[in-house]
Amino acid sequence: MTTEFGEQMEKTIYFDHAATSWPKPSSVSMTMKKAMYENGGNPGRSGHILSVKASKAIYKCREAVSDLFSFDDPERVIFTQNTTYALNTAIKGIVKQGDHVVISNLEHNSVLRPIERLSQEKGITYGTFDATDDSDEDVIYCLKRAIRQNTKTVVVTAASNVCGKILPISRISSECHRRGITLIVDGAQAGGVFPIDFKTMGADILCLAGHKGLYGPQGTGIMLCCKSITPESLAEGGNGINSQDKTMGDILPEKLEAGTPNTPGICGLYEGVKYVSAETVEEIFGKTLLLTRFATEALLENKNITVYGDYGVKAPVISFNINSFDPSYVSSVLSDNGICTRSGLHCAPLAHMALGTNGGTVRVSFGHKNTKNEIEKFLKVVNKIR
Amino acid sequence: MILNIAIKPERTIHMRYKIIVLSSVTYALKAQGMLAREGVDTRLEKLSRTRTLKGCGYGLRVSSSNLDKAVKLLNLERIRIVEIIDY
Repeated sequence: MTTEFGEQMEKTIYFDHAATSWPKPSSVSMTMKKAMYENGGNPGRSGHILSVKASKAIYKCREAVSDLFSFDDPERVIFTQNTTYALNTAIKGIVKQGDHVVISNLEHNSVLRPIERLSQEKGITYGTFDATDDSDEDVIYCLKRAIRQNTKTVVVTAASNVCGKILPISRISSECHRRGITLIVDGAQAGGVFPIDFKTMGADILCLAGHKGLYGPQGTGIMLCCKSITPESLAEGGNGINSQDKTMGDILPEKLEAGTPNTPGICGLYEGVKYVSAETVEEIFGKTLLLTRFATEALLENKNITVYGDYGVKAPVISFNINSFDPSYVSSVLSDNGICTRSGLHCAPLAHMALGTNGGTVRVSFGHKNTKNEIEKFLKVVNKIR
Repeated sequence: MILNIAIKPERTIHMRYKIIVLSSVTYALKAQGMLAREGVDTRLEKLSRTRTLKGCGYGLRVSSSNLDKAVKLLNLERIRIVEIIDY
């Protein structure tokens, strides 16, 4: 394959979908290019045709996202720059001084760091619970032990970006709601990766990446906000409504979308969501799960390899190490052979500590267009490293 | 009332319309989609000054003959009408 930029990409094996999906459907970039011309006005700011077309394109994406996640309220679909920004908005917009927060030990820094900052600056306290166990019962038991009388919020990942562990969110939600606790879910590794029904899941706020399982462009993130919760804004500025009001008001999504949105990106995201809806998330998950099982079993046959978190059903993410080889070295060898993986701590030091990786792993993460043949090529390289 | 069509055709046409002011462009588009599905044509309008808005806002231009139907449908869908103004 030769891209429009003239690069030879046909030999590239891309196993880094947990960082960002690649390649995107061609409709994504085509629509973005078109949007810069046809929807080139500033959405929600003017009444001329280019502004109105941009507003309509953005609203169409809110509707498509709502449909994909069985979410009833397109006006409570908030677009952000990425999952990190969505999580920061949710966490900092809800957690108040003196609150206790519970997070899992698989959380990304996009959860840990805002919580840590609130603990340093706002006097909140927080605890973690072990979510690495294969048994949902044990995970729930650990969660219950971590919850205190003054716990107001639980923040958990839907699926670990390090080991692929899928957390029992609907059960966690039941435990939270029984106690009047707000549940924020980091769905960066879940949206478009495995089926999610917002109502069944029971989250109060679900934060998603536009550029991973939803195949949109980088620079797009999403927050789904249930009707009973409206976080305080993280940033203030123009939002096209009630301009004489010195506050951001209380109307979603505008309250949480200060400044000009990423219209071309959101138009691209719409195409990504449309693509995923057409492929169906069930089908995508089925294919990637088979690839994940195949790769995991093959890696485990090599006695020099340790795989961290071997769960039966999981997100399509595998973390491994080869003896005492530095994961960066292994990833570099793979890169030299045209195979894209990610080494290191994956911005999730808590998870690495919990899994006992001793400071990092090589991570492979699959998309549904990856093949067994590609995995076999990857295994050939890996098995030569000893 | 028909005004001087030859001189100010646009203004003449607008006299037959009302604007349903909504909370935001997002709610206006939600309302527009819903009304379109029910056969009520509207046009999105940017508003600068109204009695109740604290500055900028959006509304849907609807023909006077469709106003009652539109209001009824919006109420059924629980989409808040901020104000109804003449255009």
